[in-house]
Amino acid sequence: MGAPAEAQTTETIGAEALFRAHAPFVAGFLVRLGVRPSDLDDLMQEVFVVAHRRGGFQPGPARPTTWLARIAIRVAMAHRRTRTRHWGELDEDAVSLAVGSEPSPHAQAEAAESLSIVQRALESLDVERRALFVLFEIEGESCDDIAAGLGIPVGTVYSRLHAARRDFQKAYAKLTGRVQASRQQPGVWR
Amino acid sequence: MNGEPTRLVDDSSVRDELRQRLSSEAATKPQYDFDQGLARLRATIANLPSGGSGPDSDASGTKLSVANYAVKGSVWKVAGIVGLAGTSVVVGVRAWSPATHVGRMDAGAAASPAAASPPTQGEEPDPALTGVPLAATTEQQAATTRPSQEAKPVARSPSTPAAADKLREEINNLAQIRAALAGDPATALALSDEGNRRFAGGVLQEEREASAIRSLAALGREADARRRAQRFLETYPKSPFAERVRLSARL
Repeated sequence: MGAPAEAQTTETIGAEALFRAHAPFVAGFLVRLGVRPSDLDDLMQEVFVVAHRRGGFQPGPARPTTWLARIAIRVAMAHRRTRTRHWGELDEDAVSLAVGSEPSPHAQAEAAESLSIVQRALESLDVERRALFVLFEIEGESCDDIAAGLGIPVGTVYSRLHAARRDFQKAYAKLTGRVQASRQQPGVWR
Repeated sequence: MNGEPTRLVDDSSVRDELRQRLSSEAATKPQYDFDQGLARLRATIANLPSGGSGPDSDASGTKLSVANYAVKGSVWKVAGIVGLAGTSVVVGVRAWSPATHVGRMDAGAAASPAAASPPTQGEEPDPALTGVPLAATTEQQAATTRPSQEAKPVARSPSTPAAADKLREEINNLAQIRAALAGDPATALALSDEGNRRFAGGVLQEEREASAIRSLAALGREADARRRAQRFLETYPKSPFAERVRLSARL
C-alpha cells in the first residue's frame, strides 16, 4: 500500500484543480477524522476555499495531499470546537456513509462491522495522532511527505506515529475482544 | 527513507484480521457528491472578493466571478443553497449577517500567502480558517476571537439588496429544477427555460442547462438533448457536469 505515484508538479495548482484531483482523499480524510456526514460538505468547502485563499498549492517539499491534509486538520479542529458534543462519538452515519456498495448484505455487514471497529479505535486517538495514523496507515503517505505537508520535523512524525499506532492497536484489541465476547453470548449473534 | 516504519498492513507480525480491516478501510471511499461539491466550490470562489483571479480561473469561473462580484455579501448563503440544490429538500439556509461575513472574508483575503502560512498544530487557527463562515456556531466562536481581525467597514462592497435577491431567486429556481427532475422532467424543463429567460447570463446558467438536457433526455426528446448537449460541451468543456450530460444525451 502506498500513496499513488504522482508527478512532481512545477506549477501552482488552484483550488478547483485540487478539488478535481483530491476531493476523494480530503473527504475520506475528514470522515476518518470523525466529521459527520451532515457536516462533510460544509467542511469540504472550507478546506478548498482556504486552499484557494492561500493561492492554491505551491510546488515545494509537500505533496498536494498532505498540504490539503494540513488544512483539513485545522478545519476539522475548528469545527470540533463548535460541535464538541458530536465529536468523539462513534458516528453510525459516518460508518454507513463510508461503506460503499457491496455485492451482498453479508459482505456489507462485514464491511460495516470492520469499519466501525477501525473507526472506534480511531476515536480513541487525539486528533493529531489520529491524523498521522490515517495519513500513514490508511492513505499510505510517507513520513517524509507527512512531515513536509504538516510542517513538522520528521522525527516528530515518527514519535507521534509510534504513539498513535500503540494507542490504536490497544484500542483495537479492546474492541475486538468486546465483539468476540458479545458474539459468544447466546442470542446476540446468530 | 530508511527510518520509515513498516505499515501495519504490511507487517507480518500484526494479526491478519487487523491488516485486512485496515486494508478494507483504505479501499473504502466516502459517499459524497463530488459534482455538487465542485459546483458549490466554483460558485463560492467566484463570489469571493478576489474570485476568478486565482489560479483556478477558467472561462466559466471568470464569468461567474464577474457576474457575482456585486453580491458577494450573500455568497455564503448562496453557496449553501447551491450545495443543496441537488436534493429534493432545500434546507440549511443559514442565518447570518452579510456585513459581518464580508468583513471576515476581507480579513482572510488580506492575509498574504506568507502571512497565511499555517502555524504548527496546536496554535490558534489562522485567519484563513476562522474567516471561513459556514455555520452559525462557527460564527459565534469567531465573534469571540481575534477581534482585531473581525469585521471591517465594507466600504468597497458593491452589494445591493436587489442583486442579492436576484441571486437568491436564481438559486431557488435551480433548486426547484433539481427537485422536479426526480419525477417531473417536463416541469424541470419549463423551469429551466424560465430560468434562462429570467436570469440570462446568470451565475447558475451552466447548472441550469445541464439540468435542461437531462430533462429533455428524460422526456425522450433525444435530438433536442443531443443538440443542446453538444452546445453545452462546446461552451463548458471542463464542466463537472460534462460526463453526466454526455450520458444523458448518449453522446
